[in-house]
Amino acid sequence: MSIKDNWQAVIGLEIHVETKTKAKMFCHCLASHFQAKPNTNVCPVCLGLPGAMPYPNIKALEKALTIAKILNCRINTVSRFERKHYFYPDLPKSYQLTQYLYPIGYQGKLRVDGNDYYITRVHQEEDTAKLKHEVVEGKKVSLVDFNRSGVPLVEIVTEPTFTTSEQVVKFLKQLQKILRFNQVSDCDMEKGSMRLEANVSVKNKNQTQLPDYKVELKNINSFRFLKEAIDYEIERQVKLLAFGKLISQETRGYNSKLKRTFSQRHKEAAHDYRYLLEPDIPHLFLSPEVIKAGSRFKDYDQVKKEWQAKGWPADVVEVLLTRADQIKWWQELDKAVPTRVAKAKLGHFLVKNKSRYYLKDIGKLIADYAKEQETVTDTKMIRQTIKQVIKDNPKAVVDWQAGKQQVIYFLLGQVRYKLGNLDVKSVIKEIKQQIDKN
Amino acid sequence: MRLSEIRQLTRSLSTWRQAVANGRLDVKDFSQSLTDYLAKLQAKTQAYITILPENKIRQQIEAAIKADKPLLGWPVSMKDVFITKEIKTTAGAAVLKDYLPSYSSTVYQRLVSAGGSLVAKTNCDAWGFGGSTENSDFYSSKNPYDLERVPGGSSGGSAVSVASGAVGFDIGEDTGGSIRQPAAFCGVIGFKPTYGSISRYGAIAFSSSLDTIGLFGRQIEDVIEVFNLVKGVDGFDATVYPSQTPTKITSSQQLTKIKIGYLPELFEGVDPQIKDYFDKLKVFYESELKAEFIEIKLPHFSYGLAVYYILAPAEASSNLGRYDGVRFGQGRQFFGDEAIRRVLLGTFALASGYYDAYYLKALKVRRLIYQDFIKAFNQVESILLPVTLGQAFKLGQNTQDPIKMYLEDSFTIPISLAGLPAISFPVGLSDQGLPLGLQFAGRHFNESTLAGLVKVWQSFSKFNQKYPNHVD
Repeated sequence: MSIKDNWQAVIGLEIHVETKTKAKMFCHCLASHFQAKPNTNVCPVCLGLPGAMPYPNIKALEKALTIAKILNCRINTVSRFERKHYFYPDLPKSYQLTQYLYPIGYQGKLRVDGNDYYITRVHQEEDTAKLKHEVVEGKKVSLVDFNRSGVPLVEIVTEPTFTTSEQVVKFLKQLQKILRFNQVSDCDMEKGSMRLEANVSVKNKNQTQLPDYKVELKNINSFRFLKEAIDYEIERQVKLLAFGKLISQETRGYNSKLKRTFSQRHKEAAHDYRYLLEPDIPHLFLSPEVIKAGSRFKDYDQVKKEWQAKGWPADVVEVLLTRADQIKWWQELDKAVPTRVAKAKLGHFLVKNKSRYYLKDIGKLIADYAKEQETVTDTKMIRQTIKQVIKDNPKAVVDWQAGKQQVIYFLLGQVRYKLGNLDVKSVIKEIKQQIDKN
Repeated sequence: MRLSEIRQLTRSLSTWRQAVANGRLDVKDFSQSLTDYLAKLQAKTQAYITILPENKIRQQIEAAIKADKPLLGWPVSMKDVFITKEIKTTAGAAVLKDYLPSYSSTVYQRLVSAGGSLVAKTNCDAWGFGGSTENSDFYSSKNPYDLERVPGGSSGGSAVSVASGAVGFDIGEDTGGSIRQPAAFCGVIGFKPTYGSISRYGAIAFSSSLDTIGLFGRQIEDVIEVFNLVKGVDGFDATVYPSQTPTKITSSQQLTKIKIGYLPELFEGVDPQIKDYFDKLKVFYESELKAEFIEIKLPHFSYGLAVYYILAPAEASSNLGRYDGVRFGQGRQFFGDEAIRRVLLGTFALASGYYDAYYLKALKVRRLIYQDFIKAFNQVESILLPVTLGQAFKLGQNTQDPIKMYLEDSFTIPISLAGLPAISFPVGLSDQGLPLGLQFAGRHFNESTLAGLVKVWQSFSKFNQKYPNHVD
């Protein structure tokens, strides 16, 4: 029995996703900021200039509502925003607008692989500007790009509902799939549209209450690294606790090269954000239309099952059906490909040639597929090809003559490689005849 | 052009329009004379922070007349809290001493498209913190009726500008009385509409849940006309009420037998001359409109001041966080004493551990004050009440005692907390020749009734034709 057996990890997540909207959360600037020229999508509002005021983007709230619905949350149909105060160069107003008292969703859960994982809250907020630390003309400087300032951001906070890093990753992958499927967010970690933080602590297996500390793992931008970081952290904490040491409340980062977490910042007292009800935004009563639009989403697992039931192989569906707006195309395709066998074959053909046919002209896809499926019947050409193959593989002939029967299939493969689909029986007969002639 | 001729043109929009229509307006002569007068006025009263050059004034008037805009280039001043693109905007604060904005406030944009000519931006208490302009980081303005006295504040320069006849009207901002009190001290109309009437986009924020853009004017008809030109949704201020219709001044026939509420206890501790004028007006309205004066109760009225000095600094402490001197303006060491005082007050009120006891409690009492008014308005259509404790006080008289200064706002603040419209208007002069005012407060979005009541008094008293004699 290892010391690990006495301990259990308690893990909660804080996930930020940038939702896909045209405009920013509180102004009319474009929300897309990836690789845009710095400070081009900005205005007095997202620059925090004197006199500027927030004007809420209802479309963004609709997306936040969708996330809350996907996570089976209870919904606050009246939205309010609070100012969360802190000073940082990426926060031009000196406060971030967020939903503190009235998150759009609360008390939710998501079922993944038969396990329910519990959600504390889903709330709307705004992204900060982006800091870039660079050397300009030999001087170290920090530059601020406000393109990201005010981009709609939704924070999902889970309960301490996970006990292993595997559960965490499964949950996150599923969440990513669903959000992408419903086009709520790109959830692209490289572009920063999905950001992960995990709170990890460890308790004695018999202990019922939660540990009185937590270690926050921050700035980790892939599922793999998060898993590694959590595993490392659990081990580190178990070791400390096993030796009777106390673990300090802190924020840690992850060094993926050294494969270890490292301390970034110790939390002294809880930060006082001086939450203030945003007086510049009145109560937002989400209209029935907004609620209806925001509640429209597809259950990814359900959709996957439906398409499997129609006869499409699981791996094909998994790879190709990634967004709800693709379903229409699938329905067209489904009508055109009636049998289960054909669906399997065409499905795999489609996976292989995704860029050429996927979500494009179905007629052309089927025609090209059929062409490939056609059996080559030109006997003269078959005969010549066999001749050539035998000529190219003298060792095979020797083997055949030595009685190695299976060599025939090797030669068949070579012929098929050159010609495509063939009537196997007649070709084998032909190969045998030609080989015996040698 | 003589001063009397300038004043003739700024007195009312109709005289200005007539002069333009008859071709009697010599724009060049007018702009030059006005520029001279503004300089003279500035020397005497320090009402302005920025005065636009003569050619800029002339160009605006010419362009507006040429384009036949509704205001035909009528001169206007604005409190220096409104962002004006490429025209210095300071909010009376040293932190923004040389700040040149890159955009324009909605109210300024609307004014320009309506053909108003911005001639000057007026002095005010820094960030709107004060009631005398003595908290301006630049200089105090002076009352044109007595240069040793304050014009009131925070929109003090604006009141001087209109009282002296330099402009047709002025755009000010009233958070707890910042339009109504200086209007009363300087003998002009101070119009604070319902919260959420005019977009605050581009108005440097003091206390966002109270800040209300309004007007100073000489006669009520013009005030309402301009109000109609600048109010309504703009897609930038989410607190603007969406379905506003043009405000019409209620006629005296429609006001017959109007029920007007009053609170006798408010006059305790107020200059008896103000009570005398109140009595005079009571008799006037009773005879003129057969008005019925009804004593009402507003049980939480007296808590207004306490509530205000929690909520307003709390919001101000948040609104001023952006002035770090990094991206624009000067650093935090340039904040004046009153700004520091209010930021500290507000930060304290919002701190965890004190939040419930102060901020949250204040929000609840604010609600009670609001409900008191709503109840009262079941009984009466309007309330007539004092604006100030007395006539304009002397410069320096209250500066050492912030609490005494705060008390000056006792009658204006509860109305602001309830978001109600109110019009402060001149009722006469004190025995020392200084203007005194009273205010009508009304139901939300019922500016019409208040304007009607003021108009009846204006027609009788001709207060719109009076000018101070210290700025000739």
